[in-house]
Amino acid sequence: MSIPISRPTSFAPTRRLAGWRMDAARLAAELLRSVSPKAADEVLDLRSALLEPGVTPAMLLRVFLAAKNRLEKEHYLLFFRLRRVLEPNLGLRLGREAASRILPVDFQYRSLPQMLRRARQNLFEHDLALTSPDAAAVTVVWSLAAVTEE
Amino acid sequence: MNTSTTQPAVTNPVVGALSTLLGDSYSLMGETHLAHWNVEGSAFFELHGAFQKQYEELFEAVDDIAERIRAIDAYAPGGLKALAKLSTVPPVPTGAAPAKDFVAALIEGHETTTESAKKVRDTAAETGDLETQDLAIGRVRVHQKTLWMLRSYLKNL
Repeated sequence: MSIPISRPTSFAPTRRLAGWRMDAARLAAELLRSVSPKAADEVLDLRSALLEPGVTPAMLLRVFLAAKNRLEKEHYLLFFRLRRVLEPNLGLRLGREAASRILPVDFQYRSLPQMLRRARQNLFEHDLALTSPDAAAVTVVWSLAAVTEE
Repeated sequence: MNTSTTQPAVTNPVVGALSTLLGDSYSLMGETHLAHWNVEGSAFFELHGAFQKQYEELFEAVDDIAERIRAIDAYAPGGLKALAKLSTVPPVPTGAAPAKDFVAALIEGHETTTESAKKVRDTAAETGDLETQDLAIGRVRVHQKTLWMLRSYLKNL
């Protein structure tokens, strides 16, 4: 009797992840080994976001801040190492394309909306053409270093 | 076991490993000094004093390592640029930062320097240079103790 052998399906080649994302994913895996089962979800979300090629910089920042808020107190060193990896690779683009500038992400904010609100407020205070803070364009982007490596 | 060094300095792997350790130790001393100046917050006095003890200890260590390079008949590398090139110690924050970030950055610096000291220890063991091995073991022990203290400080702060 022959046993049917499943053949591997052909997969579309996945995009190679940048080295910094692999480094950060390794740190997330290390974090996962040291957190309680109750806190594992946040870390798994972070690790998935780091390993998912299609994730946007805003999505990655959102899950990182969620994990940081919950776990940084007990795992400060690992979050410091994660910040060191993420810092040069994420940025906040202020303004419209032609006149935009990219600033480093300030990880002291507890959430992405809070960070964007503060950035919009700053932009509004320095740009007389803007009629309200909400009109200010602020986007989370991969920094030049991240784009070059990918 | 032959403990004397008869190889020419340029081909002696111990000299290369010691030079890296010298670069890392010198760099770590500078970073610790910077942390001593710039640390702020409620733990200021505690950390300011602890960092001073650490960079003073590193100052003596740098001298011992450089003199060991001379004792095995090679010239010690020197000058900020040359030593910086030899080092992979990551920097501490340069501006305002939580005190915990200075501690975390120094942990990374001591981890890097521990690895350099272990490389000296192992290379010296392979070549039978017991005196250099002894120096390296002492350095590993100092860095491991400092790491224990710095990591303990960060726990549940």
